[in-house]
Amino acid sequence: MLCAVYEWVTLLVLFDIWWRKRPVSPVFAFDFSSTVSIRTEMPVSCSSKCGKRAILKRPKTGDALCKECFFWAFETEVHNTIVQGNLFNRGDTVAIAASGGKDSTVLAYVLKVLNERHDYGLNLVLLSIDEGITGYRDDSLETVKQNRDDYEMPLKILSYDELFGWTMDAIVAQIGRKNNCTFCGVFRRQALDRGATQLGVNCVATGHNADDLAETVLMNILRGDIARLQRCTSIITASESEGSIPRVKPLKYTYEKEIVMYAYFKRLVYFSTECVFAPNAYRGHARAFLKDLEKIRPSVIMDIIHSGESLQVKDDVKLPVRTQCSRCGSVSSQELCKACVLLEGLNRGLPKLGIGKSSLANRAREQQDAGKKKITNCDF
Amino acid sequence: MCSRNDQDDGLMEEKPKPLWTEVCQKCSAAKPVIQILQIKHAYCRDCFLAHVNHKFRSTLGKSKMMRPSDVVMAAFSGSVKSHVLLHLLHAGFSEKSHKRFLFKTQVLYIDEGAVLGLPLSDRSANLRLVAEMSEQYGFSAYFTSLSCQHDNQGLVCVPLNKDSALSVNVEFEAELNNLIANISSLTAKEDMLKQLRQQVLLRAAKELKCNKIFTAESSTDLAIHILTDVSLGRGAQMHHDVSFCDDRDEEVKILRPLLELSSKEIAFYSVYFKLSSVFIPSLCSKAQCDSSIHNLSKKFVMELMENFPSTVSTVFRTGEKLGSSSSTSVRGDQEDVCILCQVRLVGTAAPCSSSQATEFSRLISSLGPSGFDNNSLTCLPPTDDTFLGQSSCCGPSQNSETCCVKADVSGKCGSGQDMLTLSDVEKLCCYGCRLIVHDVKTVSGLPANIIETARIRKGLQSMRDSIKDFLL
Ligand SMILES: [Zn+2]
Ligand SMILES: [Zn+2]
Ligand SMILES: [Zn+2]
Ligand SMILES: [Zn+2]
Ligand SMILES: [Zn+2]
Repeated sequence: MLCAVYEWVTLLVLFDIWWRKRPVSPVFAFDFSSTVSIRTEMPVSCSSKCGKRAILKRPKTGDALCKECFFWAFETEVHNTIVQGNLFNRGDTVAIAASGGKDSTVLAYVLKVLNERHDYGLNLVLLSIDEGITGYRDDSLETVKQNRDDYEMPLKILSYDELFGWTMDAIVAQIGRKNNCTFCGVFRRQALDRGATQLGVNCVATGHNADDLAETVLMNILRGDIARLQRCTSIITASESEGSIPRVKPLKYTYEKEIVMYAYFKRLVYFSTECVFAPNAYRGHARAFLKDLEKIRPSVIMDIIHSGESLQVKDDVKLPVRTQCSRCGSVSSQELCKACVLLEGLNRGLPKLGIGKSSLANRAREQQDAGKKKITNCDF
Repeated sequence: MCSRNDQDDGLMEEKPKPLWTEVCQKCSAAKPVIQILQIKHAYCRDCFLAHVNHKFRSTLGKSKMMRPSDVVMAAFSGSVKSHVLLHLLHAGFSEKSHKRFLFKTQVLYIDEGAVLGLPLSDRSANLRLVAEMSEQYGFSAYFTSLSCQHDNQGLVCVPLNKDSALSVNVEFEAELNNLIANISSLTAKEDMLKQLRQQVLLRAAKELKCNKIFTAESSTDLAIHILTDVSLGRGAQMHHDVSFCDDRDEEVKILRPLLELSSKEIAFYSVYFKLSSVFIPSLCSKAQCDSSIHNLSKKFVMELMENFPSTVSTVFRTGEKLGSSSSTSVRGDQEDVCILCQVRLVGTAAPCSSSQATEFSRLISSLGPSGFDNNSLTCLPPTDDTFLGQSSCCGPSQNSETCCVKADVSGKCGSGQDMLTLSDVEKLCCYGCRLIVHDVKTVSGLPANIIETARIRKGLQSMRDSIKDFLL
């Protein structure tokens, strides 16, 4: 997770120091913050009446389960999502977007287990993006390589540097520490698409969990983005234009806490540290809000997703038509896709170009073009 | 991966510099006293008051819903905003000739003191204050009590004037208190109160022969409602709660003529006209701010307003774009609506949906690997809001004990035929109201009219089940 639970920064900094001094052999890392529901008091028996002692309480339903029943329930639920959502076809090659974080590590592990158990007939590969963030991505890529060896899946690593000619470090050097995540997110989306095309896969599976989704629903409401609000809860982002590869979210209905529990009890190796770039303040508010809500009513995450799924938009509200970017061909509602606009801004030395409103961007671009005519020796 | 940033966050507009000018932006004469956010201009007192009045009138005007024959019931709680609503209405009736409102207006006050445990003397004092405030405008006013929903028949509205005395039906109030005490969480209590309030409003409007109700929500309130509704799983009905018109009831429409004004504008308006108000506490104002979803949403919106002042209008505009699409606005019969909030129950939930996933989690957590048949996965029944047909028993349940104890393997409730259970009531509820029912401890505490309707609908359903093979 590039932007993992930020309130635990202190813990994670300690962890980071330890990580840097770690022995060469792979180490086990887990997120202490999210294991709060593990019971320590009176022995409770497993809700499934298997006779064993429960070791955890499920945040989604409140049921107490033993370790074996939890593993089974967790995996069966992902299987249910895959079957009900028709995520894959037999014989598909599926790229797992792997970052080394807990979501994608658990996703890779569970897909491997289910593929064998239920004979999906899938060909699974790992696809990793190297954003070029020193001290963060270089370390987490080691974890992905560990996943590759443990799960015996081929791994493809694509870097921002080779795709766009910019590393995140270089971008930050130019734009400063604000809006980093905007660049990071837009470029990653594009990078995954290109990587998937290069690998010739049928779809890309991402590690988005239920918490991520609920947060996105809230964010889109706060932004007033009705088109994204409608789209964001769909389990498959359909390929509306030719050549774009569908994304699927098998962990869409899985709570983040359960992912941590699963990784913890399975002793899965994952990389858990904070993205070195602070997330946008606004998103930070939305996440804190969601955490507070969850404390009051744990089902709120599923309830928000339900709201997102059942929203109704007036017939006469115009939603942006999605077409293809005229420069790179990826799906976009504008003439130029966000990635191309941001990239143009970086290359022109106008990094703010893609961040604000597009009208402002156009004006900045025109101003510079006008300026260029006067000073002809300004080269790029 | 940094999954949260797959979509760019964009740049939220941070606090703009106040556009404070030397003279009022409207009349260029007087000194400005208030800066209006949406317009981003400084206005003098007179221009500001005219602006508020204009907003109110234009909201009503552009809706094209008001008819001269309309009889409007203005909901009046004694709060600042509801007083502003009366003041604006009064201004509309005092206009000259063609600008004068032609519809008729009555005022309704609902006494909620019982739920809050206020002493009777306080409640009577509030009633007198409210009577004085409404009397100065010359509207005919009525009052009723929230507990009237426990009264299955009879009239509930009493004329309100300076000499009105609060007559309390001890039995009904005890039932109401029992209902609220019977709900375990503050969130569900507040949500239930909101539904009750709505029902009392509609019932009173019908009794007073009003075909429209005006309520006094500001755009700030509606932004809070949007976040609350989303968090309560009420996405499908959100447009009823946050748009200008709530037309869930066939006879009476609920309109929100203040929805284009912010709470700041309303507050300034009341200050300039020196409008008095009665502070009547609510369940939420008594509790800690992080104790319910309603309170949290409010706190969250208030904090955002501090740092990102454009938030309210953005959220509010999100709400404006929501609405029923033509496919669902067709009215069905009364049996297809939620028993608590009257939203239409639509059975369109996809097999792969949040509610199906929650139900599945609950099912397999109780069955365990040995009790669950893996092959049944391919033929899981699709769930929907209506719970008609063979769908399984528990909705988004917290306390499966109250419902699923008697569940057999297929997930159906094995509850008795005559006894009305909470799960029976739940089946007649929408997703959001099911969350309320889940926090209700016993069925007997529910209002009489809800129990009655649930009985009738359950009876009809079982009759339909027994003859369904013979229906053509
Ligand atoms: Zn067990
Ligand atoms: Zn980031
Ligand atoms: Zn492009
Ligand atoms: Zn003026
Ligand atoms: Zn309802």
